[in-house]
Amino acid sequence: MKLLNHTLSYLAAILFVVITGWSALLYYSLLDEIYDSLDDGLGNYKLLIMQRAAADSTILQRSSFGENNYAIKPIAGPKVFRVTDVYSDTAMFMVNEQDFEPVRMLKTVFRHNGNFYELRVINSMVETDDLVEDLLVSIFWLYLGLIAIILVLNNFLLKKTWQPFYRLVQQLRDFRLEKQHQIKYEETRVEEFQVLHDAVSKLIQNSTDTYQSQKQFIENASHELQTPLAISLNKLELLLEESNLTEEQLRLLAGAVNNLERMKRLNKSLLLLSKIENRQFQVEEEVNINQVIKTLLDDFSDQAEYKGLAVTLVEEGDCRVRMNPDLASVLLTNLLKNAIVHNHQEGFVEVTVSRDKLVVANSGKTSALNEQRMFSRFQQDSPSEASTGLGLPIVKAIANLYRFQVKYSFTGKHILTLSFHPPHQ
Amino acid sequence: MNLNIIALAAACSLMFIFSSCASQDIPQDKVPSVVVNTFAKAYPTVTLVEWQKHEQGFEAEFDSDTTELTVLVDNSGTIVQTKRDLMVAELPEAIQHTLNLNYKDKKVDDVEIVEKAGQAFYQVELDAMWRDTKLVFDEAGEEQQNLNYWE
Repeated sequence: MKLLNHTLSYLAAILFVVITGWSALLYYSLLDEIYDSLDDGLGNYKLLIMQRAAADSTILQRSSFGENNYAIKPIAGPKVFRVTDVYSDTAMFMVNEQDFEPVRMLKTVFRHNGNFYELRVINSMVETDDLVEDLLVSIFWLYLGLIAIILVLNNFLLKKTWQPFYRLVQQLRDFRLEKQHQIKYEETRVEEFQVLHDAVSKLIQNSTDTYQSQKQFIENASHELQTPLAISLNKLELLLEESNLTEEQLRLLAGAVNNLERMKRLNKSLLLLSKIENRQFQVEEEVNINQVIKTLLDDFSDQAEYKGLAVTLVEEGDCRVRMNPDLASVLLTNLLKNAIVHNHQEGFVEVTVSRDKLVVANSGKTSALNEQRMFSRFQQDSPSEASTGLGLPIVKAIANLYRFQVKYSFTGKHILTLSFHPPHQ
Repeated sequence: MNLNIIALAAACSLMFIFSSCASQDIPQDKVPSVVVNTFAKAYPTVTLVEWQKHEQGFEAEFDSDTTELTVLVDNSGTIVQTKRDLMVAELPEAIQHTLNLNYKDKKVDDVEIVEKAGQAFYQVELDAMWRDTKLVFDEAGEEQQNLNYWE
């Protein structure tokens, strides 16, 4: 429900109460006015009849209404002096309507030549039920009309007022930090919108600044660190090729080279992680997972053979996922490499691809691993020269980016399950 | 502000005391029909009437042109007497003469003519320092001690 129509529902309720109250008041004041003028008329009529009776005493014999609107009868006794003028609502049979119709009656007593007479004067009256019905109908239409007018006003005129808000929301929905497009703020005289614009622009400015500086750092680090590393490695390799080195010197140099290589890998992996978390992989296309897996298994076949691993691939389905192709290959590489590296001699690796799932199972340690630690950085179970301890954290980071699900389970073999389309929770 | 309220309250209470001392105003629909109709036949053009209960019946007070009239109707619907405000100059010569003789030092304040059973009487109120004197004269200028002054 739109805010506009939300307020309308309150307004409708309030209007209902107000109009109901007002119509009750109107009804009673109308009725009051009608009675007032009727009673005035009856009073005047009474006076005319009394004057006529003074001139023409024959009308004193008219004891029934008949075609006249008055009836006179002589009365006597002490009650005569107590009677006051009484106006009352009553009903009389009307010939033209063939029904009892409401009339207003004035009952009074007057004196004529020392005798007392009771005079009743009538006047036909508004039928209150008809009046109420007419009023109700017209007020109902008034109410509907008011609501309709407010609806129209809201949805056509006020929409224009809310335009800046809707446009801003639309822009915010499409806004991505990594795509550096500007938000256009509309000119508005509405204070709330100006406040909103200010807040949004501040927020976006801050986020953009932070994002930019991080991106800057990653780019700098990757560039500036790579060069000295490469140069150092190069120089050491040249030194290794010198023939007049002792055993001891060779051993030390090899150690340095290995550590530098490891640093190079670490640097690369850390940068990759930051890049993933900063969403710097914008390009997306449909990646054929089966295809990538086959290629990677080909690449790793030497390593697997060297360890005497039995590698099997089961294709239960054709798996296609929309993601960045580089990240796809990093993701799968890390999974497979993990299965091969953390394995024992003569072990096995089983890869199963189905339509929206990839399962990698491998032999290894005979006890389950800690799933919490497995995906956090530098938490290796078995520190080794070959691994940086960042393989699975990178897998996790990529999975988080695309909302894939990674699960670890142990059934005598270590199983990593990657679900590409986890059910919505 | 507060002073105003106090003054207003005082005025109200005073009004209340005086009005309760005077004879009671009653609405026309509480006056018996016989009385109302007798009055209405006698004065058909009068619309604004103030009714008051009187020991003999009911008093109807109203303005005709610029003079104030009072009509006393008894309970059986007969007009007993009427009263009308007069200017001092409208007093009969005889009464003016009597006033000049007997009440020279007093100022004539209110003058009214009362008509009762076909006769006319004149009521005069005289202003004095301490208390007002109220007199009733007949047309000949004779003071009527045995007639009550009609308030």
